[in-house]
Amino acid sequence: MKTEVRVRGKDFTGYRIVGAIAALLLALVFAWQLFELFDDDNLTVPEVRWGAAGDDSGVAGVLADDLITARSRLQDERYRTGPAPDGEVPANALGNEIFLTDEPLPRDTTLTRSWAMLDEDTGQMLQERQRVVGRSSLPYANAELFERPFARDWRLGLADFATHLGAIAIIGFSLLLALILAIRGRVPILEGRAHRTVKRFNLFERATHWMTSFSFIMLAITGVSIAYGDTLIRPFGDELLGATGWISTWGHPIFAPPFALGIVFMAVMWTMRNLPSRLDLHWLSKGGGFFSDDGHNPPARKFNAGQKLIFWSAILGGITMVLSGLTLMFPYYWLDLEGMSWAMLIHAILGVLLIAIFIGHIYIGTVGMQGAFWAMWGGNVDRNWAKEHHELWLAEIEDGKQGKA
Amino acid sequence: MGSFIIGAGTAIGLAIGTFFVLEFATISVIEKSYNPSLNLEGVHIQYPGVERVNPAERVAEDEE
Amino acid sequence: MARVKFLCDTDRCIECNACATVCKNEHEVPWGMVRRRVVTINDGEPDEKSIAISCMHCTDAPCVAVCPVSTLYQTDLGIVLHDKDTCIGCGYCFYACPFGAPQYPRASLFGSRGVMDKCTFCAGGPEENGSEAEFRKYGRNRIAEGKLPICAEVCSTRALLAGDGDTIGEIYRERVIHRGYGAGAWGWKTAYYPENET
Repeated sequence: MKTEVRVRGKDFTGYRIVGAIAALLLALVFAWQLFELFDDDNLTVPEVRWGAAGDDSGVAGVLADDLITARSRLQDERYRTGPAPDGEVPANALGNEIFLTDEPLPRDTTLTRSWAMLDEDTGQMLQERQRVVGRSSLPYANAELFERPFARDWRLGLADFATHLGAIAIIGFSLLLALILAIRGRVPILEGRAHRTVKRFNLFERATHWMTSFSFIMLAITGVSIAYGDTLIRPFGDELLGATGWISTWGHPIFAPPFALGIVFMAVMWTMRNLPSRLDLHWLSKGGGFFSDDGHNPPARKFNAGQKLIFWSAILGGITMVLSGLTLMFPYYWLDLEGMSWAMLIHAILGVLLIAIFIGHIYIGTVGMQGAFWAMWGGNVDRNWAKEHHELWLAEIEDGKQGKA
Repeated sequence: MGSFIIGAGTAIGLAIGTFFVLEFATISVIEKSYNPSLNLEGVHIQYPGVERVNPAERVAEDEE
Repeated sequence: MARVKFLCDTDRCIECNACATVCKNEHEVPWGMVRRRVVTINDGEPDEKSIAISCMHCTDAPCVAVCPVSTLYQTDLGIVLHDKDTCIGCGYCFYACPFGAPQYPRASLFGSRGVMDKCTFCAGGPEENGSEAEFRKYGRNRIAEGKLPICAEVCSTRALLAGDGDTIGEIYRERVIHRGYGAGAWGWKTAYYPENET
């Protein structure tokens, strides 16, 4: 079907300028994130140093060193260190006087690196690194655990993989969308508006969509402020970070029920229309007609392949997020420590991926495509929009009406 | 717009409801486990309450 | 500069649990939480060994790296401390800890776990050293008094050693040479030498 082209994507000059500015800003943030990935600041370094009380002479640490080392020697064999009746009582072995104070220490990796250096004597007395779980007579959860080296890999998974690569995914995808808006403009209604509308979603469908999306955005904001608070909020103070942390820990789980309910409703309403079909392959191979204004949009029923992908990421991703989230709210209820660790990793990685995916969904539903937003806002879409993007669906409903008449 | 207000309103309503449920559950579980009669099987009645003070200061007071 | 460590001589530990008990008493650790535990491996077999374990105050500490609210921090002695005023009870430090050290009040399961508590190497927290506020939140600050952790100083067999890593390592090595055997420093590779493979 050949359409007469009246509006082109390039005609949306204002949108394209905004897109270009956004792309520039996002490119800067993206470059900063790439730098963060390689700037080697993932090493834990000491932030506080011990010094003598009331000592400002700059030799802080010397007294702490002396006190700790002298006291450590007392643990040598008893015939050397006492307590023996005729033994010497070492200084500061008794009494409760405060000798040491602490003060902030500038960020420096030297200490951590020197601690990690292994000398030969110590090297010979090291045990193999292995998972060790025994028994304990103490009645506490996980009391029988001695050592689990997996925890260090978990730290890499959360602090490096999920956090850094998640930020790169979110920012990188936003950058891509901003570039598309700047270069390609919006996806237009090629024939212009027909000013006749077609009913696309009923009130219940729309209310479900907005309930789920509102919950998702609240979950995303609280989740991001937990995951990236160290970067985004800490510059404004540790106290503020603690406060937002508390609000987020409560705000995050309370939006889980409306989100889960929305996922269930959407699955019931839309699964039948979102089953994959042969049309989808054709649609995907043409890229959905997204990049060209030549009027050859591949045909689609009510939902095209792109919308189906969004639907299935919402349903499958949403269910996984809800299940892993519930698991995290009730520790050790049905999973042990290793299972809980994986639940946390999956929750974090899938969370940042879903945020990136749904930034794409929000983009295409608002600024990315002319006329798309009204399908969810008011429920009615312009007939020309429907004809260009969902021609099989339009034919379906119009034939239905004619059949009745 | 009506659909957005209904949807977002329902989400906020459910969230507030969940908040009160969670808070009630948390408080009741805390009270349950901090209630000595459930924890100590009555042993605590034999002993007077313990004052939580710094042992360092406790020694200092004894010497005075 | 001293770098403090814990070392448990498994050939001496008799699983008396005095370290766990004295720790709970010294710091008035709340119900349901334990900063130091004794784990027995190969229980009932000829190679049975007991090890006292708490926070090992790791090099490149994973808990500090994953904490989303900068509750955990390390001092120049290597001691890993926590700030109860900012903790949100997310549990990340527990998943990242190779030794299961962070503790949460068993009471609050819903929504949050309550504020984390862990071994402080008897060095209190961010409050003024030796103050009442510090004692209430973190227990006694023995390091500021020039002392070592009570668990090690109370150990009747001197199995549990605490203090400057080089000094206690030397004590342990001498001991091994003298008696002719030693099972080695358990957990040190994971805790203190993370970059050394195998």
